[in-house]
Amino acid sequence: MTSSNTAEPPPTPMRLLVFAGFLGSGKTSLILPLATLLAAGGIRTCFIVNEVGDVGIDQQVMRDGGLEVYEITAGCICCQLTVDLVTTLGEIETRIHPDVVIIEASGVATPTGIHSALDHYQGTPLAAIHTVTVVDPTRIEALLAVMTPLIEGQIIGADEILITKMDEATDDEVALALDAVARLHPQAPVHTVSVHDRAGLAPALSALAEAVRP
Amino acid sequence: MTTTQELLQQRKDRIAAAIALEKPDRVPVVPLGDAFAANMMGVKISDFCTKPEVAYPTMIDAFTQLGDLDGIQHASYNVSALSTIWLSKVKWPGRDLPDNELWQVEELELMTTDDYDVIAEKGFGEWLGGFIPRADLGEEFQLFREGWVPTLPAAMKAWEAVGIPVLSPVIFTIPYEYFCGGRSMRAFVLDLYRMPDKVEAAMQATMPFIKETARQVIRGLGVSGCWLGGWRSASEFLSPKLWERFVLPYYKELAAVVIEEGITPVFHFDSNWTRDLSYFLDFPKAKCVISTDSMTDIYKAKEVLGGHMCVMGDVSPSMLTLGTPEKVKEYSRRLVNDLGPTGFILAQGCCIPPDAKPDNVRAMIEAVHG
Ligand SMILES: Nc1nc2c(ncn2[C@@H]2O[C@H](COP(=O)(O)OP(=O)(O)OP(=O)(O)O)[C@@H](O)[C@H]2O)c(=O)[nH]1
Ligand SMILES: [Mg+2]
Repeated sequence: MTSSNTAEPPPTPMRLLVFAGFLGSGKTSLILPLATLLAAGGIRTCFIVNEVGDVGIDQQVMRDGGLEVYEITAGCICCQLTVDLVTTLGEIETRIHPDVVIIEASGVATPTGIHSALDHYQGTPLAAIHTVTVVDPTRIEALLAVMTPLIEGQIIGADEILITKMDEATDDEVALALDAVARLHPQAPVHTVSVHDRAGLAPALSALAEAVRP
Repeated sequence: MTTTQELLQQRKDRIAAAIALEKPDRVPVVPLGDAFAANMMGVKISDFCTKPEVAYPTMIDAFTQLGDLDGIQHASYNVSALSTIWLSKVKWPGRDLPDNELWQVEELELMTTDDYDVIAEKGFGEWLGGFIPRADLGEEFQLFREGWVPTLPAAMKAWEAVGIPVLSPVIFTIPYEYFCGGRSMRAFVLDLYRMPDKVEAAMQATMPFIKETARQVIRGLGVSGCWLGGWRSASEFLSPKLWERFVLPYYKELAAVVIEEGITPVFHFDSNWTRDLSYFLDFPKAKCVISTDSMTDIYKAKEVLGGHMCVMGDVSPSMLTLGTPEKVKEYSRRLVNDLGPTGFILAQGCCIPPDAKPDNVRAMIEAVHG
């Protein structure tokens, strides 16, 4: 809270960067270096994470790096997630009012689902909602065959696609991922990256930072 | 002056008419809230979710203050039930979490792919006996079987004593939900791709156990309905072909048993099932209820299934928490007008969320009264 109560300029609306992508596709692994990049650029950032996956989050380390982390867990009830997301966002707005909020969606959420959830948000209208879908080429064949509507929905609803784990994926797997994106969402900008050997990482993260620049 | 007994009978008749696709005197309202009731009554979630003697009196206290409801979906609540349907560890408030935090299902791979073979070979019951200690689920299953289920008749009686019938006090589900939980969803979907036949053999070997358990529970407890739950098996996730193979036939088999036992299956379906609604035309007419959580298009459900099964829902959990009583009343009235007067029961979608506003729940309940 600021101390003055006279003629404050209205706060700049928050910008949202939503990461979608199936369970274990590599979302957290990408968000961590992105958050560091944003913080280094002086952009105040909060991170809402939906469930804790393989890549744990050391909240203290992140806080020291200037990043506030909010965890939302909904017990067994997926229908509770909307409420938690919207409430957490409201809390972030009043308490911190950062420039950017990064949301790691649950692995079974689609961009459309997240947008409908955000429709319930009653705070200052958000400046932008940019959605990135993380595609894991090492499992894309199986996931498209089994979780067809979910995975297609995640790709179709994205503003930008990151094909990750390039260090591990075979050429065929990468080709399949690229084909799927070209078939489902030909206009989407696509980046291929690896978090492990950092190939392609810097330009992809800069593009994302650009998308939410105030 | 109507006595409590008469009131109970009127409400039972109203619900029965809705299920039978006959015209009740008005649309019934049959809600459900668990942690919501605890929060409303200021009861610790840790006590509420582990102690049956706290759970159902708390629910009764809360709901009798919320208006004139025609029934309640569950008589009681116990967190151990989640571990038994999803073969998962659940973090309990009071044990693994602070007292007033909500329980959380943990996504762990407690089952291996070898377990499919063992289940196919030995049957699910025998396999489960070995799995429970290995997965460290002893406390959960013991609380469920010995601590909670035996208290259900008393819980149902207590509701009826205040004139409120219990629609569906027990939950059964299909092998897909067990395995998806036990394997973790992330691993399970790969199993469906890499070893579908193995998974199918295990699913088929699991059905006799599920059906036998259902029969025993139905007979032992004297319930008049049950939930057949569907969460991760929702149409919105799964390819149509796989849904037809790994989901639909199991609901059919399970519903047949439940109906044979003379009770009503309530399909409690979370997430979006719109794509596959027409498959439910194959289920016995005027015997089932389909309860959707606001993600499925309930108008489509009525259009496709209205002449065939009772539709229940679907005031969204978000609206009950973030909305206003006026909004809730308006939406609920619209459902009553558009989807009633026959074959419709008004309810929340999914479950009333823990932080829903009691006035919003009141507004939903009032909506059936005009
Ligand atoms: N080889 C390789 N593995 C990666 C890469 N990025 C992430 N992983 C691994 O993929 C697994 C999942 O990564 P996370 O970042 O936790 O994925 P997530 O999408 O956040 O997962 P959930 O939150 O569980 O849905 C971890 O074991 C990571 O180490 C990568 O670029 N290359
Ligand atoms: Mg993650």
